Amino acid sequence: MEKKGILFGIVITVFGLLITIGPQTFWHVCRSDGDMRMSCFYTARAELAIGIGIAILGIVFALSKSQKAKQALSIAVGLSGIYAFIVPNWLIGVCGAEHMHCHAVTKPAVSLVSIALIVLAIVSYVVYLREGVKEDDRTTVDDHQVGNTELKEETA
Amino acid sequence: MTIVAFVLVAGSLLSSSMKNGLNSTKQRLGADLMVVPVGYDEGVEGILLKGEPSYFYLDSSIAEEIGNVEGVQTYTTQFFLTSLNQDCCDIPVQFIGYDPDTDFLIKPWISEVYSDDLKDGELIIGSDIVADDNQQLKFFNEKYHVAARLAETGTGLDQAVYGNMNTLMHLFQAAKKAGLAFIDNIDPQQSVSCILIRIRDGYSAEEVTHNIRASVNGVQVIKTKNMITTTAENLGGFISFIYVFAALFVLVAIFMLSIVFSVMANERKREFAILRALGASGKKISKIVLTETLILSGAGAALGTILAGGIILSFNTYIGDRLGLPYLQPAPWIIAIFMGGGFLITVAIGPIAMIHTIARLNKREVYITLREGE
Repeated sequence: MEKKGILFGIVITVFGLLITIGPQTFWHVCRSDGDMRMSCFYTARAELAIGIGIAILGIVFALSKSQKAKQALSIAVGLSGIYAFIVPNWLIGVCGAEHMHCHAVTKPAVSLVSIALIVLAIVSYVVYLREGVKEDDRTTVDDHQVGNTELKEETA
Repeated sequence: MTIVAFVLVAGSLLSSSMKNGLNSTKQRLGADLMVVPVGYDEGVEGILLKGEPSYFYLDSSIAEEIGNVEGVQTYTTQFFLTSLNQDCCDIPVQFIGYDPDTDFLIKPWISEVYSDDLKDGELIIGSDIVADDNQQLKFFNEKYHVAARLAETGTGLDQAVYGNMNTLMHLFQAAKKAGLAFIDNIDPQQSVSCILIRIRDGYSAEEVTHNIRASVNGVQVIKTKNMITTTAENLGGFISFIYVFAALFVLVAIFMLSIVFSVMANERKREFAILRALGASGKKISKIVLTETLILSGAGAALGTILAGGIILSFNTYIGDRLGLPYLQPAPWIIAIFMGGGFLITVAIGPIAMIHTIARLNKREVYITLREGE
């Protein structure tokens, strides 16, 4: 397995785990007392699901051998990153008061990790797109060389 | 390079935000002296600087006594109250009631956002308080109309709610009904929390403080200038530390990079010698080396600048809360100048560290370099 793919896969998995665990632990949303649940509670739930999905994509990325598959996985990771970003910012949101923990810490932390994930997905897509082009070029040259050899043999 | 850019940008944004917060506090404290019950000076500082809600009361007759003290030009009273933690996502709010007839402090700020007189039952909110879609806020099971929202100050006053004395009396009764036991013994009509004083021309704060102490018992007089000076001194020390740290970082970076570049150039000396032998001028070699350095510095500086900007600007509220000092993010164009400046200084470090190496490269004899080690 190529090292670059494993590294990309590991970083994606770590980011996915941060999105999963972060809102529940170190950059937690507001603690809910009793039945009263604010929007940040549901944001944390949604991020849990999105983060697990991203972590799984990261593992598949690391194990995958096909460049086309890695390109497709990069797109999936990028879209998941966008989704992870819009959940606390627009889709569900967090508590309105700026000094609440979910507003001051959870939202910016998840947003920064999501942006980093989107950038990583773009980089990995471009890297594997370029490798795919190089691979195609190599295949074309090899085909051409095989064709020339066959032609020489026939002439002989 | 990334770390240098990060330190420069983060340091400049932090120090600028703290200075901005202090200036904003200076503008907001329009009184020369504040009179509070003995032992509550920290409570006032908490409200003004850190946004920590507090409440304390004096007998309102003290205000009249203070009005007669020599050196007092004018005075106004304020009444404080705090809300409860009503659910998981509700932080306690500081209520500040002012007397519209005598007020010289709060009305000027309110007039910036609301031209009418504040009616009974209406509230003006600090920039950190969020009203519902109908411009209403619920406190102690009753709803109040929000007339306007004040601009951000970076001080504790952003987390306060303002109303006239009648509104505060109404809130006080509602709080009592809601079960706030600690205010049971207080008669709101006969109480004030804080008396704010403007000194008559020709008198010093010390003189008037002495006069108040001589004629009124059981009060603590706070000189607002002193309060700001103490904060400014703390802040000044912190900001100096940031600047010294950033300057040292830049110097160490230049020194370290010049060593690293020198080693790298030494490893590539045969490559450069071959280029020279093939006809490349010293200028051409310098150009190649400088371009490579600029690309490296630029990439590192861009990453550091983006990281510092992203982290400091995103966690703006949290940083302000943790510092416990007035903290107000500067205007976008100032942020852009700091980020651009940090980026350019970091980009310049690469070529500066490379100057010595380039000079050495160009001095070296091509023939000797190529035959070295044979």
